[in-house]
Amino acid sequence: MSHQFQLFARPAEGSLERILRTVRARGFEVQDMNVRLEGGRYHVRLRVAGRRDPGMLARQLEKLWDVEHLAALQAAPEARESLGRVSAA
Amino acid sequence: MPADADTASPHPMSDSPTRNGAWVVLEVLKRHRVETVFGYPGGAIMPLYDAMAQDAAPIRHILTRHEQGAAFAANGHARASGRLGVCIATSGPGATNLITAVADAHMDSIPLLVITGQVPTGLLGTDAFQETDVLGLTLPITKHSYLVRHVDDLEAVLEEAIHLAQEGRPGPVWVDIPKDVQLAPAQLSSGSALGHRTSGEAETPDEAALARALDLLGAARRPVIYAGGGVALGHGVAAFRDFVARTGAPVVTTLKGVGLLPPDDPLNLGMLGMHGAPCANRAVQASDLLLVVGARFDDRATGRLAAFAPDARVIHLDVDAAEMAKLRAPEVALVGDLNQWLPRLALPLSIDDWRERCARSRRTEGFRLPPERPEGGFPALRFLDALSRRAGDQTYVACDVGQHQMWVAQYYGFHHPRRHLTSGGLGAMGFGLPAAIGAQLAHPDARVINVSGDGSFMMNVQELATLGRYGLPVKIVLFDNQYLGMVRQQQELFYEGRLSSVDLSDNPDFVQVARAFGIPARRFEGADAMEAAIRACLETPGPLLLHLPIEREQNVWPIVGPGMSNDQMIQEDVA
Repeated sequence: MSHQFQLFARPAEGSLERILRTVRARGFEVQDMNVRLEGGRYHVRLRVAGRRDPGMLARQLEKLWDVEHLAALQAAPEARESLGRVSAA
Repeated sequence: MPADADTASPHPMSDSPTRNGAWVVLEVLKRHRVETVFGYPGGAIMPLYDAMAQDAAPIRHILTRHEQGAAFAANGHARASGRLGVCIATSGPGATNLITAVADAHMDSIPLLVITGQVPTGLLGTDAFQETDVLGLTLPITKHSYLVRHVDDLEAVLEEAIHLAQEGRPGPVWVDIPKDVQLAPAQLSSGSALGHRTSGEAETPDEAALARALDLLGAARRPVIYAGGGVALGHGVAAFRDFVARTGAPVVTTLKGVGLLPPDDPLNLGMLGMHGAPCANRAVQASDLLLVVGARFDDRATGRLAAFAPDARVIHLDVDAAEMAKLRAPEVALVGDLNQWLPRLALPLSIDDWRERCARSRRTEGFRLPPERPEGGFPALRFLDALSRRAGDQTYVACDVGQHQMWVAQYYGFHHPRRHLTSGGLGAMGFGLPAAIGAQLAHPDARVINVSGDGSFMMNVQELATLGRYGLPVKIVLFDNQYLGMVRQQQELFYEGRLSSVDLSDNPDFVQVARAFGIPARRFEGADAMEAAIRACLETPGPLLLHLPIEREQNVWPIVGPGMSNDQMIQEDVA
């Protein structure tokens, strides 16, 4: 199951590593990642695959101090349902 | 750690403190009323130690004998005081030696500020002497971590780190400061206001969720409150007790929730989980509603998750939104400060039959002392039970990890969770003695007892020197079965009795070890020595190590096996 997120993150030292290690440690695999630094923040598009609840991953990513905003762009309907308070674009 | 030979040179001594990055660190700590820090100097952190030496009103620095001891002591200080703990070390091995205790703080949500020196910025990334990528090392074990490359950023970073360590769900925050940044000239800004978001305040009360929770509570016939360490961390013990009294619902606690209710409260069913009270596990398994307060469905509490509380709906209260549905999806998620939620949920419940059923179970299936066995060595369980009745409600007990840790949770009657210092999430042997040192320094007039085992004690035995240096009256209760007892027990039960690398019969003479560090020590052997041991523990001024040889094969009961449901508790008489 593939899930896509868009994140905006402060360009603090280690912020991209935190995002990547959160994806890995919470049981997902990065399938595609696009990052650009624009307007003083990282714009990250992330596509991951995993069997766990993508809502759980979204909440863990959103908890990162550097992450200012997170939106779920694409997920299976049941996954979108479970994303809870994370905004679905 | 030995001093390095890098290119940065300290400023010359002068009559007034040098106003540099190191000075900024101390000033910010003082601004936040940090009175005690724990640490161990070395090359890359020498400017900060030099600033301490120049400080006319220095923060008290406790020199431990290992960086891990410093971080566990800061951790224990924070646990006992409810305030920020601070530890300091140098780069490289100094930083890596902190890792275990910082991971422990992360797992148990303890507010910790960790400050390390780093090689000068010009040497970063060159594999310099005592260089490790501390930011990289600490990503998974901190709430956040910083590498400060410019002295102009230092004050703001420290302010943010201190704020972040304590806001919302607390945790350790690590600030890595290169030596040249510590030495660079610096000034303080006029204020400390920061505009950063706070994760704990991001949630607005969800009135619809509250109404749904009240509906579920009102309809429940077999509700159980499952409470964890988040209650005390959220300074919510009084609100929690009031909530329990008003609802009249039975309560089970996690290891870190032990003490949320007094041990004799009829609604207190005790600890649940792997070594929980049978009455607690049975109540949870039979419940039709779990109200989860500041707990996170840890596997040691739930056993096999799919079989945990199979008929229960769940209302989950926590300050951390990321705990919602991480392991079990709640019917209602209430995110935020439990001091705000609990009074609004305090609905008197008409559950007399269920309450009586739980009370009966508590009488017959609560933790009960086993029959006396005069031949069985020192009676550890009776000792803990009796000690807790006589030591007073305000006594702090810092455990290590293993069988003795579970015996303390089962048989020591705690009256507040902050009195019980235990490495819950990480389960880090070596926690107890330095944590007790931290607790004693936080509460100099309180009684502080470190309960340890012979395996754990050896992991930070060097901190006996810290105990002696500062003359702290910590009592060390050392249960010695000459085994890694918890591992041995599980090898016996779940690995067909094949004992593997658990024999510690070549332990040193612990009485002689303690005395070598200048710590008085006595050995108490056999059941007849229990009263003398209790009196020595309670009446001896200053520090004392009590060496208590116990029966080698004594086990912790009950136990839920790996992958088993909490319904499948193994009791002593059927093992």
